[in-house]
Amino acid sequence: MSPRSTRLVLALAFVALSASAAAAQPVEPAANVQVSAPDNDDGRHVNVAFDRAEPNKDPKAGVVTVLLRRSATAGAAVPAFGPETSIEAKSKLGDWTIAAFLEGGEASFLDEVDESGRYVYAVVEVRRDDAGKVLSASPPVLSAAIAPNAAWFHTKRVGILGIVLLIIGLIGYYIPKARKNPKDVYIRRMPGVDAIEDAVGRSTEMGRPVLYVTGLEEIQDIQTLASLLILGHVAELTATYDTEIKVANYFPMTMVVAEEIVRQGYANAGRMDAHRPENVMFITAEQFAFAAGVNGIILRDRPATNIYFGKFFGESLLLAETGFLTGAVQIAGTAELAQLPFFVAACDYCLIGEEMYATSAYLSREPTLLANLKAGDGFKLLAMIFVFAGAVLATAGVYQLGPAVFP
Amino acid sequence: MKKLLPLVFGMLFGLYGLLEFYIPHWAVRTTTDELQAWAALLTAAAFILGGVNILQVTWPKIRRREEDWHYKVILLACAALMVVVGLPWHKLGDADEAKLSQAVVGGTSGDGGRIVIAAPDDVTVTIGAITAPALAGGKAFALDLPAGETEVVLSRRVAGYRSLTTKVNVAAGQIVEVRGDPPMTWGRDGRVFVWIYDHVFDPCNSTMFALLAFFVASAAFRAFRARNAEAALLLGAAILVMLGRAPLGRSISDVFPDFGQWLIDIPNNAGRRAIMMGAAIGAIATGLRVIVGLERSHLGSD
Repeated sequence: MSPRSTRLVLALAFVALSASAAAAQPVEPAANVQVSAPDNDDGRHVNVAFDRAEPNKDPKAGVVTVLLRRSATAGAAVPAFGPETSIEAKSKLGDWTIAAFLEGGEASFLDEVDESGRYVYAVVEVRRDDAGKVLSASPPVLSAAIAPNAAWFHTKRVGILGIVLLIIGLIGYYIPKARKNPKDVYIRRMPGVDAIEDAVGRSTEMGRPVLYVTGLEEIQDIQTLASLLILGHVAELTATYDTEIKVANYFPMTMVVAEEIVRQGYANAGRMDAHRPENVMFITAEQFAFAAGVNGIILRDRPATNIYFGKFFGESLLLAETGFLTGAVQIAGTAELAQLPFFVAACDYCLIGEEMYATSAYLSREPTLLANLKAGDGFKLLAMIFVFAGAVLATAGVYQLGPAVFP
Repeated sequence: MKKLLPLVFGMLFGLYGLLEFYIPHWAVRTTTDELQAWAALLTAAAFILGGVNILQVTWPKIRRREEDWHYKVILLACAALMVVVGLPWHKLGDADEAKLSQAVVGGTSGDGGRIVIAAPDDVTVTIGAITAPALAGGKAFALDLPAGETEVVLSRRVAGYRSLTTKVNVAAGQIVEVRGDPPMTWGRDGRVFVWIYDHVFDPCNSTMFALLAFFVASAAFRAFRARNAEAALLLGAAILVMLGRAPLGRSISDVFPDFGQWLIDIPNNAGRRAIMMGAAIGAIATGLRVIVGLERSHLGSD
């Protein structure tokens, strides 16, 4: 035999021996399989954790973990794994279902299960070849039976619930006080809100309409809600002053509610005859197309007053600058931090964050709403005290108090 | 009743929304998912109202030939066009089998067979792990492969066309020709809709976005004037931060980028957090007063 042929035969023999060695090499099983129901769970999850053998943790070993699940009432053993066994997630092996196929070395998995079931898990370590076929598998390690646990209260949110209850308590405290002596409830002046009536009067004198933009979020957003509450007051003002109001909306649902609110505002002022439903418009639900549409209204109809209340994004400056070009008085209010600088720069008045939420109460002057404002202010005072105390504690190196209250 | 019913509904669903945040139980989750599905249905139905509103607002302006009425015509025409091309017309057409065929066209020597593709040059062929153009340099794609069943996928590189898939059984010594032309689809993912979006809407959107740069410059020119102490402070901070961000500042001194970053991280962040906390408390208070029925301005006066 030539030297070249000898080398070829030896190489082929080595490859064959290696392949058979890999196939024959046993896989060490996992250990300590623990199952538990997670805390604060909806009752549809089970956590499975286990310890992998050290040789299996080596990525070069090519060992993956297969997690199987069956109902606790069925008593079948785990079927043997052969070369043709499918180990993809959700595959069925008799009474067992493959819950997960972990090939990243994970030692735990959060399984999603039916809320009414009781389950047993099995962990099998599997060695595969490059094509994904099973070469060998460890003996299965079974867990105890477990049923998921649905919690009725989220214990980690008790801090937030406390804050909400505290605010409700403060509202309950201030309402009787406000009803008894409404004049004693001091609310500082907000020039931006005071300017709304002046601006509407200006529009009346100039014979030009008022434009109201409700923001670029859906109606369930709190800023849109606050905007619609203010719209009611503005609509009543425009009806009283006999000025046209045009309302531009980003979502049709907001348009539907806005139309009803404007109609109600006109009814409150006794001017149902002056109400024009076509003035409450749905423009479009695309951001810059909306900006283009509203800019078109501003440049065409030349409103004397532009009011922007709600949630705005990148188009805020497009709207405000176009309004500035037409010489309109502009009043804006948003809680979007990124857009506040643009509104402050381009508008005559800007209501920042909580001022927008307070506007409805400020305009109506109802004792219950003013009490709500006072409750918010009372909580802010408490928050300031907590922030100061927290800063002092953090400076002193005390960090355990925060996680204890807000886990 | 006109005021009471909305109040009751608001309170019931508002309180539910407030409480479900604290109750992780699956029964509450299932109910919440159902309510959210109802809300999604209402939102979708509202878009029909929105379309009707656009017609109600726009049509009288066209009829009365008000200012810029021709833009309203373009608006309605574009809306109608998008509705038409957005409908899945291809689902009314022929089945895929009519567009994909295979036939034995010849023989070859050897243990394997050959697949030859007959398709337009903008079609891509995928056979197993191999992907190639169906027609390159005037030559049709051909692949020699072992006898047996193979999956052949024909697709187009651009969006809006459906891919065609077939299984080809090639016997030893056979040449099988696969002939196909992936059909155009309609609807939201269809060719026409995607083309109009990419070539008409997207450039218009980008144009509006680009205008922001000029508006920022004009707003900054007006806002950054030292009329009083606060405005002077704003101007000074803006200059320092801009110097810190631009390469010019670093080339003058390393102090500018560091100080600019400090301004953003410490004083600016403190102000932002204060506004955020105030806004959050205001949002809670507003939500609570709507939920418990304290706020009734949207329902009308007594």
